[in-house]
Amino acid sequence: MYLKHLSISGFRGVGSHLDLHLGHRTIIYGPNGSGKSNVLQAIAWTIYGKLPLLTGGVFTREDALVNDFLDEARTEVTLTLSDGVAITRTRNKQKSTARGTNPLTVSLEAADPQTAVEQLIGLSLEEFFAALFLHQETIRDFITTTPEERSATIDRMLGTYLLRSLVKVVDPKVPAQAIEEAEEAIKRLDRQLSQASVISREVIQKRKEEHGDPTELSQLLENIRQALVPMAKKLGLPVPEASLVGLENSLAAARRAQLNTVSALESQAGQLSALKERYEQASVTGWQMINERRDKYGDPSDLPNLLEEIRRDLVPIVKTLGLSVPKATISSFESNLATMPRVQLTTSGSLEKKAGGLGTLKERYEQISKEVVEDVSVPTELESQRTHLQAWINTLNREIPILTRQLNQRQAAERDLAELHLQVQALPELRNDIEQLQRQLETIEATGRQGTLYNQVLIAGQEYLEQAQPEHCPLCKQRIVDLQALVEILRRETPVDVEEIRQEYKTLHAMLVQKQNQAAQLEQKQKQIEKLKMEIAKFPEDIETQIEEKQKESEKLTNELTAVQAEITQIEGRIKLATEHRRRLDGVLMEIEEALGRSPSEDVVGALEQDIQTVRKQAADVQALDIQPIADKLNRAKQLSQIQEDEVQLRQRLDTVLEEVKQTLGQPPGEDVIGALDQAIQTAHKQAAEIQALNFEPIVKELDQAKQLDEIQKDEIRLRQFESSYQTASQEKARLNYRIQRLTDLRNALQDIAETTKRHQQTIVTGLLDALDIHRYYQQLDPHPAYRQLQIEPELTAKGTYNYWIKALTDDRSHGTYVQTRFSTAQANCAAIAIFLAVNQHLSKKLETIILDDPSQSMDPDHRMRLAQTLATIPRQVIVATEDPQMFGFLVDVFETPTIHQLGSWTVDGASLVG
Amino acid sequence: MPIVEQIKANLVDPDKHGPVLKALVDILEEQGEKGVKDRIKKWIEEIEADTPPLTESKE
Repeated sequence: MYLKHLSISGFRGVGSHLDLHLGHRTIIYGPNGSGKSNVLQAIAWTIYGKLPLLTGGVFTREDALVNDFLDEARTEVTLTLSDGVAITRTRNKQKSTARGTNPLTVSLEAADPQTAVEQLIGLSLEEFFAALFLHQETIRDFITTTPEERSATIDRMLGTYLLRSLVKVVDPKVPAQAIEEAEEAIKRLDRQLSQASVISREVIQKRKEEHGDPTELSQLLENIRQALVPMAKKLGLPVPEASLVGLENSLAAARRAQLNTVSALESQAGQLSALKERYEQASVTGWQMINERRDKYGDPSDLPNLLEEIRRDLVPIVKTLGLSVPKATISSFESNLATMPRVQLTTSGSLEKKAGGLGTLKERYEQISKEVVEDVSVPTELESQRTHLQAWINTLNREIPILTRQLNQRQAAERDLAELHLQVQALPELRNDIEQLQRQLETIEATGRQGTLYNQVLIAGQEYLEQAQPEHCPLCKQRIVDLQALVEILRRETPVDVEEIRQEYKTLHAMLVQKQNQAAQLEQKQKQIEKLKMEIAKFPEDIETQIEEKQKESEKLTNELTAVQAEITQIEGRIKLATEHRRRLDGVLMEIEEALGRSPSEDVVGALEQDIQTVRKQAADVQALDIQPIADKLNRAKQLSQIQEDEVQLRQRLDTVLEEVKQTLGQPPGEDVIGALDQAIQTAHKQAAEIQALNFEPIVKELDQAKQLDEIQKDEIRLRQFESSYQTASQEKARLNYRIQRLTDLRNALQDIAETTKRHQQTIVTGLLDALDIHRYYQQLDPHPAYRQLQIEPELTAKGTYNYWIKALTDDRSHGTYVQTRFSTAQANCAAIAIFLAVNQHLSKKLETIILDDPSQSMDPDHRMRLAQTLATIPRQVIVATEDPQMFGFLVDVFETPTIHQLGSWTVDGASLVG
Repeated sequence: MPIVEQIKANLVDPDKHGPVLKALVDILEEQGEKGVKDRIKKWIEEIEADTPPLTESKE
């Protein structure tokens, strides 16, 4: 069975009417947006009444099925099958694609037309779009990079997309969570009810028997109040109310007040005792101690005289030590005496150091004085001797090199002479060779001339015989018997090799010239020998002797000069030493002058000795100074000053204590201060004892009983409240149990659906992938040059859905790769089409049709041609929509008798056929 | 046979759970996956808002 005819009216972009015959090979060709896809979608919509591509939020906002521009606002599509069955579906425009019905009529006897049509076609909606209809979105999605999206596309191609979606979204955990919440609410109710059940009438009766009747509570509270009132008054607290809370607060306040009051009274008694003690100290003990100190150190009124006396004692000492005279005050004296031992030590130390320095200077002066000697100088005769020797040596040193140079020149000339002698020895032999060569040349020259003549005769004779052909020889006149033989003889006669003779002559001549040149050079050297001999004769014969004598004389004079120079150097060293000693002595004398503070007399040592004695005496005087008596007097002055201060302070303290006593007692104490304080202390102790004696225990016991009665009273109220609310809680619990039951039903349903769908999906996917013959179509569609095998590898995810990996393998399956990673877009398209064709072959048994919407996306001409050829071999009805002119051309070429529908550009009147 | 029918035939309790499956598939086809999720949530809300029958409240 296949599709035969399609009549469309008002469907999506199609206008009022479009009639299409669907042949075995049908091509729908037109530009983008001309309505090709709408025509193909109309086939699916007519059969199933819905289009899976038109789902999602945007399609609920308008009716995307009915043409917008037609007045009728209605669509009708009739699909006629090859067996004559006509399927017609209609729709009136709605507000949403999902809304409304799409009535179906079919030319069959059927109670349920939809079921009848689907049974006729033999495919579910999902299977139809997987096996029959390859639309451009599928091809595009196939090459997307996300594994999730790609796997969803492959599920669409396999017809399992619905299963995938169900597995993804049907989640039993959602109602399970609501069940848990309801169960938790029940637990809370149970806890509430169990807590309430603790309170029971029996328990309350028992507590009444133990603690009394709550009706007596008000009388009991009044009794407690009566008992608390006098205590509160005694503690200065307000009168309590006759309520449980008021009495509890009042009792707590009274107990706190008891502790605080007793503590305050005891503290007051302690303060009074301390005051009494301080008064006794200020009025009696303090004066006794001051009098004792007066007896020991004297009257403080003597203090000014004592200070003046100390000042007088200090004056000579501070002058000796170079200090300023202090003021007549204790602090000034203390400061002065404190610094005095240090100054004393420093001063004596400085003087000792000065004496030591003078002693050192004296020693150095004496030492250097001994070393200083009279002035020395280099003798004149030594200086002139050195000059004379130096001049003579210089003369010799100039002459020796000149003689040496002459000697070298003579020796070089003698060596040249010997060399020339050797060279000119070859001259006689060379001359002989020249004569011999000249003779040989003369001989060769004569031979050459004869040879030339001979050859001329031969040629002339031959020419003569040939031209004249004489009968007789012109020379000997004999008869020539055989002229020809004679000519031949002359021809055979070998001519003389004149050229060879010429070459030999040239060679010998060149040798002669060479030897003549050599001879000329040697004769030139002969002349040089004579010249050299004359030059050598000019040099004196005893040059070596002269050089030797002058060198010996130079050495002798140099030795003499060295001796003279050493003597002069020694004298110069002595001069330098004397100068150094004199400089050092001058330095010491300057130091001495500086130390003495004056220029020393002739007797430098004596002057130094005298100053050393003086300084040492000064140091001894400083060390002998005694400040202890002054320190003793200063100590006494300090005691007298302290006594004065203590007397003033004691008087002030007494005044202060008396003021405090007055403040504490609230009245002047009178004459007997100690007696008044003793009486106040006793009063405070007595009051503290009375407060301490207050007993709250009976009140505490009564208050405990009152609390028990109050608790019983409250429990009785709560019991009454619980008894009334128990029914409400039970009803709530039952309501929650009912909710759990319904939620559990929902969860079980979802769980059943989810698990069954997963199992079903697994069965279909594994079965389908095993059955598909993808390889066959992949081979036809020009596989990858290396990866020529194709297979789908399913991978089950944690969610229960499948991820599919399209794997390409080499023929020997030794190498594998994934289509998405290494294939071009066109190669991936081929893979998608191969899968689609395999699925079509497997699933579509009844309806033998295949629909392809723009399948040649991203393909080059070669791939397009292969696709067209592959489609041409499929033994089913093929309906192809394309906008690609080249693909259209290929399809027209390879399809046998194709049915062609060409659509023009789309207008508001809808899609229309061209021609 | 449509896929819904194939799944329904394999359910543990096809009579009770089949209508739920059918409803979910219809929603899935019309509104997509989000529609199914929303529908399940709505069922739960409806159950939670529903008052139990009088007979159960007396238990």
